[in-house]
Formats: sequence, structure tokens, C-alpha cells
Amino acid sequence: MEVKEKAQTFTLEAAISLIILSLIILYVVFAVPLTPLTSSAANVMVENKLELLASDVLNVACYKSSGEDYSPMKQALLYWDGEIMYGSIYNYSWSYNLKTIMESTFGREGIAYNIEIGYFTYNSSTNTITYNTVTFVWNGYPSDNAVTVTKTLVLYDSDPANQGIKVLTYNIDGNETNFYNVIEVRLTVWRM
Amino acid sequence: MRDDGQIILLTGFLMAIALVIVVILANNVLLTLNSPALMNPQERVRISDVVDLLDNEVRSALEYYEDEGIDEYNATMKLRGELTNLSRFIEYVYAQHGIVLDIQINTSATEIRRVYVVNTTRGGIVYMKSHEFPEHSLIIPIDDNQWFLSDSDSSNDWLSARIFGLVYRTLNDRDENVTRLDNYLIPVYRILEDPRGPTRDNINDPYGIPYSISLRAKKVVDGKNGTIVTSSTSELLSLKGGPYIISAKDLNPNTRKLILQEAANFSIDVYELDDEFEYSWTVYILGAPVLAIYPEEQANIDIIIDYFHQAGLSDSEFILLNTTEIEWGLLNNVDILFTPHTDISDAYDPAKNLTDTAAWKILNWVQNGGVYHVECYGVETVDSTIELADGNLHPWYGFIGIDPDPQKYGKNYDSEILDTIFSSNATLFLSQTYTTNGLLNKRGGHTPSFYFLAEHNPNSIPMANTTTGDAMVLTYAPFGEGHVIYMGGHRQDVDDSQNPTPSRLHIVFNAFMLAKAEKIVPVYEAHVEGVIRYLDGDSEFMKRINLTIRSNETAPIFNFTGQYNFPGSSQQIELSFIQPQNDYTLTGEYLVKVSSNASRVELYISNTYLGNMTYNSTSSLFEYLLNTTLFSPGQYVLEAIGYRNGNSAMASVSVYIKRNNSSGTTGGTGANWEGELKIKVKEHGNKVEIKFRVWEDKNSNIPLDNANVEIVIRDTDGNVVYSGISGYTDNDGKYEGELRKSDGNAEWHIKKGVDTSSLNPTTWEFQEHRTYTVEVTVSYGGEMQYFTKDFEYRR
Repeated sequence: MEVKEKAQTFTLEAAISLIILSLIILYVVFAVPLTPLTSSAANVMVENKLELLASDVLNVACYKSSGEDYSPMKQALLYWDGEIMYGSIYNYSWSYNLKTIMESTFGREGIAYNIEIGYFTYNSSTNTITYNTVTFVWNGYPSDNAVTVTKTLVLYDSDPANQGIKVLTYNIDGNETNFYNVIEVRLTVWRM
Repeated sequence: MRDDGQIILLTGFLMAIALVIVVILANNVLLTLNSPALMNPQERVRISDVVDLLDNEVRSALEYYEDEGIDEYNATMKLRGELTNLSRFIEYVYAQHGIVLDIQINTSATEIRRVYVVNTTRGGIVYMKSHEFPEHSLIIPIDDNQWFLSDSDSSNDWLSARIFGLVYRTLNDRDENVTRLDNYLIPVYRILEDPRGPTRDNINDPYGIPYSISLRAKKVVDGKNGTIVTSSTSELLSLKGGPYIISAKDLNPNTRKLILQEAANFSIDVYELDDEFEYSWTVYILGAPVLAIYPEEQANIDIIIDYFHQAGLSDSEFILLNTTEIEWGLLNNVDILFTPHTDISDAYDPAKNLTDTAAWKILNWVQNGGVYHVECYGVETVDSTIELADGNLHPWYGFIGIDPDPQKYGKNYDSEILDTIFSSNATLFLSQTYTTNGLLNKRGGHTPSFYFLAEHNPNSIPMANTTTGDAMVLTYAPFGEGHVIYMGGHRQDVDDSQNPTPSRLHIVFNAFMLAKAEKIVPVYEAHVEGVIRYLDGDSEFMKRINLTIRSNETAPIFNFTGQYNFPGSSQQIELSFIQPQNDYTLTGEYLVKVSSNASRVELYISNTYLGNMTYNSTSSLFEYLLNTTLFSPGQYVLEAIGYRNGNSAMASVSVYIKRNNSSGTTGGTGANWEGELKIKVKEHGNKVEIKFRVWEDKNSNIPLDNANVEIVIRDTDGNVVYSGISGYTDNDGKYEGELRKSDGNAEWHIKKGVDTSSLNPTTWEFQEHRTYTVEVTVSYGGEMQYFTKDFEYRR
């Protein structure tokens, strides 16, 4: 009797282990294209596609045609109030063009994105220039398959100085030339 | 029992693995939105962006400089500064991604220069060019070769207006159903001549433009009898005042016949060239201007309508504009606007239900290339009305800035055409008229003459002044891309006794023709050179930058040889350094001398403004006492920029500034370190020993440890003999070594300190009995100091 009970226990344990293992395998199979833990061909493919899309979207957002005063990205940054926007671009003056681009690309495809802005500050007492970042749009921490693409934008003295990005950084040469400073737009995208 | 234990262990092991996997997956899938990823996202930074950034920066800068009216020298300086700063900060950005980016802009090769493009009819400079007319080209004289100007009866002189009417119809292709001739656009050339009369011909004329030209021609239209002449004899014509010529190349039998018939109908004499004729100062008129008169409500508008009717034009060939129509934007299609004696400020008065929009529209229309001719009281009121609309956009008053003449000299005295008509092609074109003595008849009215206000448009050019009182009767100013002409006198076709005054009337019509004369416009062209070096750990490459960008890239370039002077402006500025000459070595106080015909010369040293040079009337040179001790030793570029009449010219020399103190114990700028420099030639000239020691505080014997040392050896002319000797001082503040001669080669051997040298050149360069200077640059903690010492090389 004792041997039989033991055998039943072993059988039960084996069955449970089998179920758990099967579930795990099934789960892993489903999970691979979404959030792979290790580098794989599928992972690289996802990243490449994301990078291509992110680059294209960022290029369009930062492109200024001859009939425009500013690109959609620069326009939105110049008139931004400095508060982090959660989820997507908020509605405010001059944000419409950028909001449209983001919603019709990443929003439609269910891709999460963060936008951070890199900018420089100057400490006159130590004569040092520091690179800082500030979050423009936040959708949470990116997953491991996330890709960041960047674009450098030039700010000018003649650009309107709102409470946005221009006041965070500084005028490199005073009013010597129209050149004000550069900022870096860092767009991070990942699949949800 | 052993079997049981093994199975239990195996099961436990499998469950542990499963648990780990579940936890990791759960973390990965479920918790990604609120906890950091295990790895940072992969970052992609593109090198192509750098090239685009530089390219876009240059374009943006060009646009800005042109909009702001920054001259080419300052634009060059600004562009160099902008690109240097931009490069530095792009490097910083890329460094955040672990990429070593080195953008080196070759500042000396990076410059902005003004080039000229041919730009049809809108623009500031009339295109004055040489042209060869084939035989059978048609000549329309405006002088006494017209029958009505050669006879003793002046009552027919009003027919001078018909010359304009004929030219207008020839140019017109708008098919206004007035005549068959208005269906075809036939371009017309204007021959530019000196209107100041034969006695002043060649005086103060930089071009040598003649008062009259002689050529053989046959009469083909007898204006007096209104007939086309089929057979006539060749005669030698002396043409004055700027006749019109229609090239035979622009004619066909049909259009020729139409022109001749129109001339006969207009009672205008026309001649035909007997032989080829080449002339250096012609202007091509490309079409008929759209004529408008404003304000329609004013009674005095009839004055202008009379001009047009005298010219033979019908009412359908010009338009009358009221304020509302100008507000609607009807000016956009107009080439020339005419305002006679009128109180335009009444039109501006809101109490009369008229807004300031019209004034603003007129201002912008002129700014964008319109030609505005204003007469008599209109001169005063237009200037004040435009001032209201312009606000602080310009530092001067109105379009030009004029003050009415309280003495009204214009009423009592003839006015003289001034030598300043040669200041620009536009004024030369506008002053074309037939006079025998360069005088325009006097004419009364509310505003027969005026003066400049103290703060007037600095580019204004007076064209005719009263012979007494020096009051202006005619003046011109460019305004943006457009042109403004103010003319005193109530009407220009007759004097106060109602006698025709064709010389004044022709000047009015010149303004209309100016609107459609071929123009060239100055644009900026930037040339940028440099190198981009890129290293991201995997890839490494170098890209050369060689950009040439023009602000107007579609218009054809006008190849004018003078770099700093537009064609037709006054005499070209000459500028050259008398001393120093290129590669001179300067020490102490040095008197810089520049020869120039400019009115003002500025001096710069390597892009830093030093000041205005002083004109020495004894030597006829511009001079500046340069204190070289204020500058660190090294190579500099001295630049002199001369200005006159809104134009500029630049000359430069490269000089070397040498330290005055050669003791080697003091000197330099920045830090207060003390140094000691010893040079010794040894072993029959085969070794040159350099011993350098530097102290932070010599009295307290605190040596400057680990300071960066760079050594350059120069000859007495300042030329670099050796460079690349560098390194760091040791604990005693010492950096010592020697140059050794080995089979004709030179080698640097360090004895004390840390060596980072890369000697250049590696050949033995010292020559017997010549003196050399060793310059040591020490830098440490952001401070820098220089030490120098001379030595004579002897075996």
C-alpha cells in the first residue's frame, strides 16, 4: 500500500510538472515575437523594422519644407510649456502637426514611444557645459526590444522664445550670430 | 528508496526551472510598463544627419543675412562663427552616444561673397550691358532729331510724350484692343547717354558715357507728315538724351510695319540703322509696365491722365486705383504707381472712412519690387503716410525722408542734373532726357523742391538740385527690391506759363520704363570647406565638405568681374596695404598704412575689429598704430575694409607677431608662471639643446608639474622652421631635450619630461649664422603662457 501511494504521488507530481512545462513552452512560443529575452532572428527583425519606422517618422517630424517656418517637431518644442506629456502629444498651440504625425503612425500601429530632449546648459562659475535630458512625451519604461533614434535640431535667436525648450538651454554666442544652440530629439519606440 | 529520492529531486529541479522562467516572463511581459528594461534601448545615430545639419545651417544663415541686410564681410565672419559653434555642439551630442566626431571647418576657406544674378525685371540694379545692333534696327530719337524739337515753334513739344506712347505700345502684348501693335511684345533697348550737356560730358563720369553718339541712318517715318518713308538718303545723326532702339533681330516684317504705322499715326520720326552699331551702355526693356494712378478720388489725378493722353494712350491702357482697391491687393499686378499732387494723408485719415491698410500695402508692394513715382505735394504726404505705416521698421523717415523747402527755390530757378546720377544704374536710367546744358526747367506748385531730413534713407541719391539754394527737385532711393522717385513741381509737362517742358516729362516716363527694364540682383553665395571624421567603434571614415550654396539657385549668374562693386555703381573701391606686406614680422608698436580711395577704412586682426583707420592728408594714406604687445606671438591676418557709397572692398596681409621680450624668463599672457629657457648649440652644430623649466612660484621653488609644453622654432621672418615638439614637464617643472643632426635628418631626443613629439619637418633646417627664435607655449588648468628666446646657430 505504501508503495502504491508513493507511486500515485510521483505520478501526480510528474503530471503537474508536465502541465507546468507545457504551459511554459506554450507561453514562451507566444511570447517570443512580443518580448524576447534573448537575441534571436525574430528579435533583430522586430528591432530593424521599428528602427526604420522610427527613423522615417522622426525625419518627417523634423523636416521643414520651404513654405514652413518650422518643422512640426521644432514648432511643438518651441511652444511647449515644459510639462511632461503622458501617453501622447497634448493639444496646445502649434502641437497639432506633430500630434497628427505621431497618432497616424505609432498610435495606429500600437507602438509605444517616448520622446526625450537632450540640451546643453552652461555653468559660468565652473566654465562647464553639461548635457541634460528632459522628457517631452512619456509612455513608460521601454522594453528590451526598444530602439532609440535621434535627430539634432538647431535653435536660432530669431526663433520665438516661449516657455518651451529654448529657455532650458542657453545662447552660445550671445547675440553675435543668429545661432542659439542645438537640441537632440531622442525618440524611443517599442511594441506593447 | 533511492529511486524515490531521485524522482523527487528531478521533479523539484524541473519545478524550480519552471518557476524561474515564469517569473522572468511575467516580469518581461507584464511589468514592462512600470519598471526599467534589463537593457538600454539600442540607439541609432546617423552620420548623414551631420552633413544635412551643416548644409541646412548654411542655407538658413544665407537667408538670415540677406533678410537682415548684413554685408558680406560680416556675414562671412558670422558664418564662420556659427559653423564653428554648431560643429562643436554636434560633436558634443554625438559624444553622448560614444561616437567620436570631429568636424573641422576650414575657416579661412569658408566665406560668403556677393554674386549677381539676372532676374528679369524685379530687382534693385538695372542691367546695363554692351549690345551690338544689326543694320535695319529702328531708332526712335528723343532729341532734336524729332521734328517738333528742332523747329522754333515749341507748341508741338508736347509730342515728346508720344515717344513714350510708341515705345509702350511696342512693348505691350496685352491685346488691349487699342491698336494691332499691342498684340506683340517687341523688346526695346534704351541707349544711356550723359544728360548733363556737352560741356560737362566726361566730368565726374566714371564710365565715360558720351553726351551724344553719331551713327548713319535713314528716316523711315516722317512724323511731321505722318507718313512711312520708303526711299530716303542716309544721314549722319547725332543722337542725345538716350534714344530707344529696337533691334532688327527682334523684328519681323509684320511687326516692323506695325511699329512704323503707329509712329506715323503718332507723328514721331523713326530712323533705320544703315550699319551695325555697338554700344556699351544699353538697357533692355522687356515689356510694357502695368500703369496705375492713385488715389482715384483726388482731382489732381487728371494731371497724370493728361500725361498718358498726351502719350497717345487710351483709358484702357492704365488703371485708376482707390484705397479700397489697394486694400484688396490690386497693386500686386501693377508695375508702376503714380501719385500726383495730393494729400494722401487725407486718404489715410480714418475719419474719412479710409484705413491704414492701403499705406501698408503700398509699402510692401514697393519693398517687393514696385516702382513708385510721386510728385509735388504727394512727396510730403506720401513720406509721412508711409512713416505711419512703417513705424520702426526703418531707422529713417518714410520712403526717403524729405523736408519741404520753405523757400521754394524750385519755383524760381532751373534745376541742374547732378553728377550723382552715376551713383547707380537706376539713377542713370532715370535721368535720361534731352537737354543742351543739363538744366531742367523751373516749375511751381505746392512742393517744387525739398531737402533731405537728417535721418533719411541712406541710399537716397539726389538727381537734380536747384541752381540756387541747393534744394532737390528730383531724388531717388532704392527701397527693398523696389524704387521710389520723388519729383518736385505741380506738373511736368508744362511750366507755369503753360509752355511744354519735354525734358521734365521724359524723366517722368523714364520711371515707367524702369519698372520693366532688365535687372540684376545681388545674392549671397557661401563657400564652406572642412572635414568630418567619424569613429563609432565599428566604423571609421572621413568625409570632406566642399559646399557652394547660393541663396537664389535658379537664376542665371551675371558674370561681373568686380567682386565688391555692383555694375553701374560709382567708381570701384581700390584698397591695398602699403605696410606691412605679406609675411612681415611685427613687434612693438607698428604703424599700419593702407592706400585707398574709400571714404572710411576699418582694420581687423584675425577677424577682431581694431578700429577705424585715420586718414593722413599728408601721406594720403589711412593709418593705424597697432600695439602688437597686446597679442600673443603667432600668425595673424590683418584685414582692411574700405567703404564708400554703400559699397565695400577688402584687402588682407598675413603677418607674424613676435614677442618683444626674448629673455625667456618672463612674458606671455594668462598665467603668472615663471620660466627659464636655455638654448645651446653643441658638437659643432650637430645638436641644439633646449632646456626649459617652469615654476608656479619660483621664489618658493614650486615647479609646475605635468604642464603641457609645445615648442615651435621660427626664423627671423616668422616662418616656422620646426614644430611638433611637445610633451609634459616632470616633477621639477622641466622639459628638456635636443635636436640632433643625423645624416641630414633631424631627430628630437627627450631628456627630461614626458615626450609626445612629432617633429616636423624631419630634415635638418638650421643654417649657419642665422638667428632663430624658440617659442614655448605652456598650458595647464585652462591657463596658458608663452616664453621665447633667440639664439644664433653656429657650428
